[in-house]
Amino acid sequence: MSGRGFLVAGLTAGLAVAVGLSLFCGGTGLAAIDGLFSATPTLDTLILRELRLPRVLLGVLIGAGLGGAGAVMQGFFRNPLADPGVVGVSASAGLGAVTALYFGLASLFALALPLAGVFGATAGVTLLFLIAGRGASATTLILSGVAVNAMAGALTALLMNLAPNPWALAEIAYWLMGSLKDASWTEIAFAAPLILAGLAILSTTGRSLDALSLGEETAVSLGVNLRRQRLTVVAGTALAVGGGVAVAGAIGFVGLVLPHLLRPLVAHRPGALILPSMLGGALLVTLADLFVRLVSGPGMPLYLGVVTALIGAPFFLWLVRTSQRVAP
Amino acid sequence: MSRLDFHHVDFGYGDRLLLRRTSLSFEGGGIAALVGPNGAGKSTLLKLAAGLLQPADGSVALNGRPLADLPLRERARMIGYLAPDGRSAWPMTVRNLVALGRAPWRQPLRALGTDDRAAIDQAMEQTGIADLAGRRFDTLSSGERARALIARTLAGHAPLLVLDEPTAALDIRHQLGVMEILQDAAKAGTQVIVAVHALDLAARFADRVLVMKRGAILADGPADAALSEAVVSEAFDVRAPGGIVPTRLAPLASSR
Repeated sequence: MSGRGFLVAGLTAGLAVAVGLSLFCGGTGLAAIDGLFSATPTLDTLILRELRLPRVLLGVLIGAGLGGAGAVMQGFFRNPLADPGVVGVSASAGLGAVTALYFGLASLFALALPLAGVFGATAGVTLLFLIAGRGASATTLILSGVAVNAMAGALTALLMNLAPNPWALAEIAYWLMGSLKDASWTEIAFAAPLILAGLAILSTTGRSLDALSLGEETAVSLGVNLRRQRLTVVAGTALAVGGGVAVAGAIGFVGLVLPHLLRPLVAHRPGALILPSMLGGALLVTLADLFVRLVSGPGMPLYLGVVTALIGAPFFLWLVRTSQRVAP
Repeated sequence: MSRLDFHHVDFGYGDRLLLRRTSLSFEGGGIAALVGPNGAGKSTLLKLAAGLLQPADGSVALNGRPLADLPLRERARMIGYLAPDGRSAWPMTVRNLVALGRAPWRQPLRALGTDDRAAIDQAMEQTGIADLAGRRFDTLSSGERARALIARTLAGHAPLLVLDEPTAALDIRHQLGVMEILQDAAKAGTQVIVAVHALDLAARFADRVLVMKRGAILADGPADAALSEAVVSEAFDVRAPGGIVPTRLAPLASSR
């Protein structure tokens, strides 16, 4: 087995353990699994089936989407600072979802919220490509991200500003902090197909990302259809990130941290990084959510997005510092 | 064997034309060297030759088929292109980098095949970097990087190679080494089109030299004719009494 094979196997095993821990930590014991498919479940089984399982599954999906999107964006832009959060895709997805919440679309039909998220993410990532354009330097990319973030943030703030009552405002504010606490099978049913489609699309980009390591012209000379790849990255990112953000709010920095940590373990090949980043993202979100659940007391809910940001922001600072030193 | 034809090619950036009704043919193997001052249009001509730019008017055709009509993958198998910047965004190992040259031949989801591995080994052998296979690209010297990138280009086994200044920023020994690699490829039947700055290298290694200035081809022919005193002074605004003398330097130790 190759080094990458071991990595994928290790991450999968780690993810399985984390999922197991998260399912059975706190309250419910292993006994709860007995009545999982029974018609008259115990309370523990109900908690496991209707609360824990969807929450953990949603975390896995969202983490995989963020990790995969981060790896693909970094590969495509040839820039280790690209991340759905940093470049404003998450904020745009959030804006889409907040719009749906604000205008009551979310209560019209259940798919409205995730779709609005995907729509917002598509708008954000398209805007990013339009500003950052071809072969953008690190600075241009990050500045474009700042612009997209600012735009999405301003419009979100406007909606909050115009919120009809304090409860609506609070709903939006809490939602923006990012959380899996309200996950249910309904959310999974609507977000999962979108995220899974995004993951599948992102997975096809590996070879092109490898070729892009040597620059856009070399990639084209090697047979990469750049325009089609750009559309693929936009679609994959929007689906993988947008669907998740819409149901769980903004969970930042997962797509930044994971690809960066795992890159040396796949010999810096951008294509080989996609699958491990998906698994790693799923692992990180699962563990972070477990932590959130364990430390949250009654009446003192800690939000997942807050935790990942607290881990991610210092990491981002450190990354900016080191990437300045090793300019290519 | 492949044949590349420029037919009445117009090309410009913005509304200013750089190339005007340029017609050229490359066939029969050998090294064609493109020389000229900065901004003469060498890189533009090479990108047109590689199908990376499309002519505003006229056509560039490979074996009679316009490049614009060739499927990307097929074109990639026929034409190898080496970009001038010589960088890799990620510090991949030399072998993984050379393996990128096999991209036009690989099937989706399949690992490298026997053919691919043989081509990669051969390209690293040819460029003398077999012992660097496991080294990270960012730990290489400029000379080693240049050879690794050329190996990447050779690994695609394209019958036409288009190289934009593969000798830039190299010392004389490494310049000679790179040109010898191209010479070997040309001897094996590959048509090589290469932009170089050093006129003495062009004079020594090229079977044909094209001198460019402001998008026009001032001279096209064997080195001694194309690099005459008159042409060189017109193209570069420098005096070159007696024309350009091919370098007589040879690397002391083998340059590979």
